[in-house]
Parts: sequence; structure tokens; C-alpha cells
Amino acid sequence: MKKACIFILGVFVLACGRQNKELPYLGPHDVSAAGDTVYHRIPDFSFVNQDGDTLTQQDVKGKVYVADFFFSTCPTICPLMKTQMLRIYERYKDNDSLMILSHSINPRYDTPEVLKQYREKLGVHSTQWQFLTGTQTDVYKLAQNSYLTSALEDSSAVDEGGFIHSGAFVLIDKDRHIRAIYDGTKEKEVDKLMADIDRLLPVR
Amino acid sequence: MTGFCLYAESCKSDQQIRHEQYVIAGKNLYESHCANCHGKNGEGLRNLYPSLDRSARLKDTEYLTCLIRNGTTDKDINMPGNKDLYAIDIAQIITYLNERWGEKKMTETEEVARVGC
Repeated sequence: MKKACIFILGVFVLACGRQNKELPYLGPHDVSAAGDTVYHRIPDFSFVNQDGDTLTQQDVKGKVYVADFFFSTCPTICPLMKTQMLRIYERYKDNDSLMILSHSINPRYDTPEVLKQYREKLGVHSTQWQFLTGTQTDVYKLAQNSYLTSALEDSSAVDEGGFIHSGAFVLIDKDRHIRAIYDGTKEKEVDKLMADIDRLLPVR
Repeated sequence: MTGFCLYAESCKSDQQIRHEQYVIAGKNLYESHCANCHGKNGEGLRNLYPSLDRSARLKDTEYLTCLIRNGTTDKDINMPGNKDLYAIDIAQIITYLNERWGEKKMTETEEVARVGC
């Protein structure tokens, strides 16, 4: 009986501990010459935003941000993703420690002007939410290698609008480490994402 | 009482029964072909995708048939078409749209089939 009690207590402590545990660092880890763990980090990037301005890693310096991949004419999961991303946008609208970067995976069609119009129709005005376009190779490489998610052109994917991409929302901390990946089409996942954003943001 | 209900049920006209079938089939088609953008409850998404609720266009079978079948790129709108849908599918969708957001009038397959576009 005593053993059982200790066991139950142990499980309880473990369960509590897990809740307060910090978010993991995702992606491949390296070890530096000094023997320290080096976490996967989003490399430097450069894209053009909806206003035709260049946006780089400097613009997210010291900020927590959420990244996703979409295209403006996507009839399948993008509307669901944008509905959920709007919840995040509305909740953190006045907190400039948080940014959102939405990358178009169809840059041939999604020019800055198209993205600007898309953004306006969504009712997004704050600079916190940026819509980005660039070369197709750059954005696919970024999705696959940097953000560990997928984006591909596939002309056989007629119902998907000719592209295949995941509905992932990737959470990046202020040091450009990936801390979590969520399904951006699901309300419950995005609830969890927002709770995790709160854990990463500096206390105000 | 049960007998009465059964009796009342069996008194539904063929027309009524078909109307109900169209609404149910139309709901499934709406949810797989339209709801991602226009929303499960027809609410749309801000100014990006229009709300369907009480849309004046719901009465216009010809307009809806062509829009659902071919989509549009008019006036900055970018709605994809649904070439794989048959006239009966489109009629069921239009019937469902009117059941939920319009005047509950049934659209017959023949009406859709007559539309040339």
C-alpha cells in the first residue's frame, strides 16, 4: 500500500512537472567546440512584403513570431488557417513583442499588390502581421529546411489549387529557435499556441 | 399517436420528400466544396469571402449555377469553379443555400440543367 502511494505521488509530481516544463527546442541539435548544445536556428532570410519593402531577420530581432505558409487563391485549408491566425492577431494586436509572418508559396501570382489587397480584405492593418513573397525556391527551401514544414508545387493537386503545403503554425522564440509546431486549421491547437506564446513573451 | 405521426409522415408529397433529400445532400456538398471559405454557417471571412446570409443573389438560379460551376475572377474576387459537380449536385447546393439563408425554396435539377454556361 505504501509503495502504491509513493508510486501515485510520483506520477502526480511528474505530471505537475511536465506542465511547467519549458517548451522544447525543435530541429536538429549540434554540439559546439566548447561542448554546448547548439539548437536549430532560423537562418538569415530576405523577403518582400505587401508594401514592396524588404523584410529580413532584423525585423523580427528580439521578437517572438508565428510563421505559416499559404497562397491567396488556396481554396482548401488557407481560409481555415487565416481564420485562426486572425484570432492570434486580434489577441496580440497591441503587443509589439509578437509578430506574424505569412509566406506565400505561389509568389508568381502573389505579388506584393495581390498580398496587399488580401491583407486589407482580411482587415489587417498593423505591421505586426506581414505577408511575404519572394522566389519560389527560396520560400520552399525556407519552409522545408528552416521551419521544418512542407510546401511544394504539384499541378496534379487540382483540388488544392495546384500546391501542397502543410497547415502548420510554427512558433519561433526571440532567439530564432523553433519551440513548437501546431495545426493551424484547428481551434484547440491554436488555443494551445496562444498559451505557449504567453510563456515565451517577456512579462509586461 | 404514433399511428397518427406515421400517417402524417406518409402524407408528405413526393415534392416535399425530394426537397428534404436535396437539403440533406446539399448540406454535405456545401460542407465539402464551399464551407472552407464561406464558413459552416455561411458567415464568410471579413471582406475576403462574402457572407451568404440573406444574399440577394440566392434567388438567382442562373447566376448561382454559373458561379458554382465556373467560379469567377470578377472584381478582384477569386473564386474557384467546381467542374466536377453535376446539375443535380448544384441544384442540391442551391436548395441548401436557400433553406438556410434564403426563402426555403427548392431548386430543381432541371432548372440548373437548363442553364448554359
